[in-house]
Amino acid sequence: MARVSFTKMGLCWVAGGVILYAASQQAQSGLLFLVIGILFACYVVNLLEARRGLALLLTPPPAIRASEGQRVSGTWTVANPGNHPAGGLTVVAPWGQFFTVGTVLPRTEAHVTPQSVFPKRGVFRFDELTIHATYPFGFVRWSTNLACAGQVVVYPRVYACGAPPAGGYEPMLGGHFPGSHSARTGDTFRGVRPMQSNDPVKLIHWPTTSKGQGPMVREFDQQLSGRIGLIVGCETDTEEHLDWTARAAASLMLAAQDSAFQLEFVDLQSMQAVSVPPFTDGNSFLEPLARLTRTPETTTPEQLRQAVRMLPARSGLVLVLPALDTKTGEEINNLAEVDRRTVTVYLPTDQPSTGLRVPIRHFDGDAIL
Amino acid sequence: MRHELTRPTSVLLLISAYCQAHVWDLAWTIPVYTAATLLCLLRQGTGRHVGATLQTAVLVAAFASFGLIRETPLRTVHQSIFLGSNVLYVYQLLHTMAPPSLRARQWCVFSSLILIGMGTQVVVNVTAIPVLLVTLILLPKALAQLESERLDASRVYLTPTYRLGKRGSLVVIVLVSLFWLFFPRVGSIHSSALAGAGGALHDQIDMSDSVSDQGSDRMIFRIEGENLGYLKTKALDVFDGQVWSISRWNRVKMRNWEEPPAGAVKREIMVADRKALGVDIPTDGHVHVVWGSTLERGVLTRDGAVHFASIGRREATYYYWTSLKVPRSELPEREWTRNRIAPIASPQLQQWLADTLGDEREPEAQIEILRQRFQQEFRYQTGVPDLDRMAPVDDLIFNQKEGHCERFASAMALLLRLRGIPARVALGYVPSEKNPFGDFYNVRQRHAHAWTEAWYDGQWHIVDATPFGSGIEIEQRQLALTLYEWLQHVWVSKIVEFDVEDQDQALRSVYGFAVASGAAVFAHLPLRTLALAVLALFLLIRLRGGWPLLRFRWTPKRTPRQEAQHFYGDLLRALRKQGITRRPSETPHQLRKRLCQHPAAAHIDQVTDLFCGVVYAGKTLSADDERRAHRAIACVRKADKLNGG
Repeated sequence: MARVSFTKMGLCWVAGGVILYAASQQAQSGLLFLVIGILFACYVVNLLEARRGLALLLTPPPAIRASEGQRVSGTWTVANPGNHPAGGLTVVAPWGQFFTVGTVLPRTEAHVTPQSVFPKRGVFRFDELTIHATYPFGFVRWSTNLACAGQVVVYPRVYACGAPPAGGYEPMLGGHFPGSHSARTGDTFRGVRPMQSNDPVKLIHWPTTSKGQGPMVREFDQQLSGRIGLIVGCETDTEEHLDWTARAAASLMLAAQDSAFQLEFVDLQSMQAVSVPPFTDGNSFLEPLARLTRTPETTTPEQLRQAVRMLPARSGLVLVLPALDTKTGEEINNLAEVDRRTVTVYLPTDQPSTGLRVPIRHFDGDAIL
Repeated sequence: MRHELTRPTSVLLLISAYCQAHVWDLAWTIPVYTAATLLCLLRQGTGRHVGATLQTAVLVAAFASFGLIRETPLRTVHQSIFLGSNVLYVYQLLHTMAPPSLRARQWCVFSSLILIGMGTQVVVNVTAIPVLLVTLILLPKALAQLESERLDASRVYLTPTYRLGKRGSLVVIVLVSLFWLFFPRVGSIHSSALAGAGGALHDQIDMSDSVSDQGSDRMIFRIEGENLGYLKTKALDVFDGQVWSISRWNRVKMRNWEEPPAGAVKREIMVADRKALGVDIPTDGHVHVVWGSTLERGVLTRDGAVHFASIGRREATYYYWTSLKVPRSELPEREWTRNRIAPIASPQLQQWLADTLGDEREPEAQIEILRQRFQQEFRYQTGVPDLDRMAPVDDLIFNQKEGHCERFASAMALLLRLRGIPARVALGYVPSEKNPFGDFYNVRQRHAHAWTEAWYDGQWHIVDATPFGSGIEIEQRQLALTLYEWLQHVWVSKIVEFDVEDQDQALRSVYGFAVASGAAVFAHLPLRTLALAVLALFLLIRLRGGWPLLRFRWTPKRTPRQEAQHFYGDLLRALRKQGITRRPSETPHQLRKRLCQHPAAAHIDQVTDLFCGVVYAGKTLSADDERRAHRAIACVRKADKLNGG
């Protein structure tokens, strides 16, 4: 439903027109009415022309992803199917002005790359965006919601940090940790040994074989990779702590990715496990983190126990929590001492960690301390 | 820098400076104001601007200095308004030197329009036309430019700015005209065109006051007739030593209209400017009767003038019959006494009067002696200093010896009263400009005149003591000048002084014309013919596939690609009204596939095929294809209505 209203500038000019009209009551010539008439005509033209701006076809890019504090990528297409110039559009998002469009000539398209910087993570639907059309004079503003499907996903900001402690190391190609055994494949050359049955021919090390001691094959150092089960909490009183938590979780998971860990991730809001193989992109876990909202009664011992059950038993548990109560802390202690799990807890700097007998790290909005 | 000067905002500022310079009514203010504005514009953004504190200080000083000025033309106009506008102008100049910014430009346009509006109170002649035209062109341009800059300032994707275009200009002009015609007015126009003129048409005159000019060329009326003399509108009979005014006795009805006798001459007067003329009709001789279709409640008053309650709201023509030979009569005792009252004269003036007239007792002889003396020793001059307010006649006779008609008429009337002769000051016009094409006289504002009337021999005699007033000189004007004056007359009377009464009259005329036209059409047009015409129009619409007038193209013919995009856009809009929005990155074929269950799916397919064929395959678009596309879109719209949309 289109709404029409005066802009601030339009109101100022209305005031100017009222002053002139008041002066015209004591005027010595009727020419003052012509001057006011010009102003009036500008309002009417603005009212008619700005309405056309709402008929512009705005086509967003296929996917819009951005990070906190970064400009959004993707180019919007603004098409003017009408016979008249239109424009003067200002697309306003909940966080502020998204982008603006000047004049779009008839039968033409304009491509706009928003220069807007997203201050905060989250998911913003396009139908939450509002279009203001003020073409051409900026006196009158027609407004409507953008009738367009889609959304902007703003990922939490990530920073450099070390990978969290992992558990359940297993041989894996590309693993960053050397094992005690040798393997047929790998990055680090260990030596040669006589060829045995079932050894593939391509492993034959021809320089040593040619010295007459029989066929020799190559051996490599075994590569190991750990597993991490990461649990993210969302029960907190402050939105800031939740944002810190999302950033810390995203940074830890990316660091774990870089360390070639097998990652499983559960957030206590949706309670859905996401498996993230090493060397994949981070969209699968960054998007849930972008959608994370404050939810009460989610960081309970029962909820935590249920989340742990969704993760592999041999993985190192990493808990990134915005807040912690005593009962949940006892449950974490039980996980470490009774179930003998490798548990590391990450908490905001101003959250107390009394009673926890597991390694604790603290984080704020910009780093893990 | 040149770019800054050619900006619409800068030109508007220059126009406002030109208007403000006119407030002072001095020749040197226009170049000074223009030069100051140009200088400030050239210094714009140089970094040597005036700070905010100094701006405020100058503003206060400007208020103070303008407020202290007393002896300027500001005194005669709305001083408070022009005081404010001049201070606003000074402030704007100081603001102009600041570094250019969007807010500064917005303020510049705003204040410029206010200043132009105030300037239209003084620039009322035809020079206001270019001012208004330039404002009409530049204001939308400046506003559009500011809006573009505002969007640019907030990191806009910069595209071409707004252009009003021919049609837009037409729309603006029509809207301005409609606003001017229909927007409610409250007050009447307080005409300034008569202020400062040498004419004496007010109900009182101050003989000590000076006038700056001889009156403008503004046409008041045209009069047709032979042997025209002084055309009197009123006579002032009360003198308090400084101001002549009209008594209520002089406004009392003197006699009824009478049948014009044989030998009476007929005069025809065409009023060109009813506001300037007022309700006192200028007449000469002994008036018998006045007739005019728009005259209301007229009387012949004791001062020998013709006064009406109203002479109508439009330009009027009226006639009067008069006898050039005025019949003798008796002056009532009351009037005799009233017209001989004079303030006590100074001994010096009494001595001068005695020396001039000696022992002469005949009124006619005394008048002739005094008139001769005024003609020989005094000089007609406007713009001379004010007379001494305590003794204006003494100051005129003994010191200044020059002045305009009001002073000589006042002095003569006073001197005659001092000699016991009833006398009064008459105001009116002296027609002296005969039109070369027609047998009539143009009477303009500068033909306004004041003279003395003295009573002797049973009638009021005209005594013109003004040195140039010994005879009426016939003027001749050039054709181009006559045409220019006509234009000016139309501009002033139809535009500048268009007030609430004129508006009411115009609206009544429009309404009356519409009603009369409608009645005429329906009265003379047979119903059968009307029905046939409606039927033919309906068939024409059906056969042509649309309303012919609406299908008229105002824009150049589009390319097939543009046309295809146009009708596909129409389709998307029609679907959007039904709640179906094309998803981002959805191709036309994907959209068509998604809408396969739509009641008008076949029509959507048809439009999509045409669109894709033209846009992606480079096919041409025939008129038949266009028609099919539009019909298909109409079917899509109807499908929504059938579904209860």
